[in-house]
Amino acid sequence: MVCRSYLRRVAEALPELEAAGARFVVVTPQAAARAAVWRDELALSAALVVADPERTLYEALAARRPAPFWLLRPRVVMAGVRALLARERTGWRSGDDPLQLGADVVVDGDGRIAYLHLASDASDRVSPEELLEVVRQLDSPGERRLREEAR
Amino acid sequence: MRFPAFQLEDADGRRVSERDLLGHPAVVYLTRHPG
Repeated sequence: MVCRSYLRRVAEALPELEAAGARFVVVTPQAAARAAVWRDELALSAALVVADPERTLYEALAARRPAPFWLLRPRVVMAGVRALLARERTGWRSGDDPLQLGADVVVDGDGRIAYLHLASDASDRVSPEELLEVVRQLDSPGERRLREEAR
Repeated sequence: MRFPAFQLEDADGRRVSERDLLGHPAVVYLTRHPG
């Protein structure tokens, strides 16, 4: 699954994420102005889109760089074929870092990482449904405290 | 493990930090090049 295809799936799942009390945050290694364009194209206005051109969060979370010949992995090839058949255009532009891979993270309301998946290739992403399940299982001390205070 | 501290801009040029993630769960997706 390539970035744009994945983000389209997440856009569809946004109402469920919001109903579960979660916010969707997209971090991109692209500049803010460029991120604003695809945010609007992909109907992600409800998401917080963070521009990280220096890739500070990628490095802090130890997001991977691909192993040699990663483009030849069958699932990467299939993801590319599916994107082509869906007429999904590539988001890659001159100056982008094609070797930087992504990550999927669930953070609880206290700022702790509850789930972290470091992609091993461009197609290695966690489905929005799985991330939603992680969110539903969260029970942070902050949330417990709020519930206790409400009693 | 806490989510790393950061000081960055959102797509509209507003400053955001890790503190903007507090108070509710967040699904954070680090992209490659979506557009």
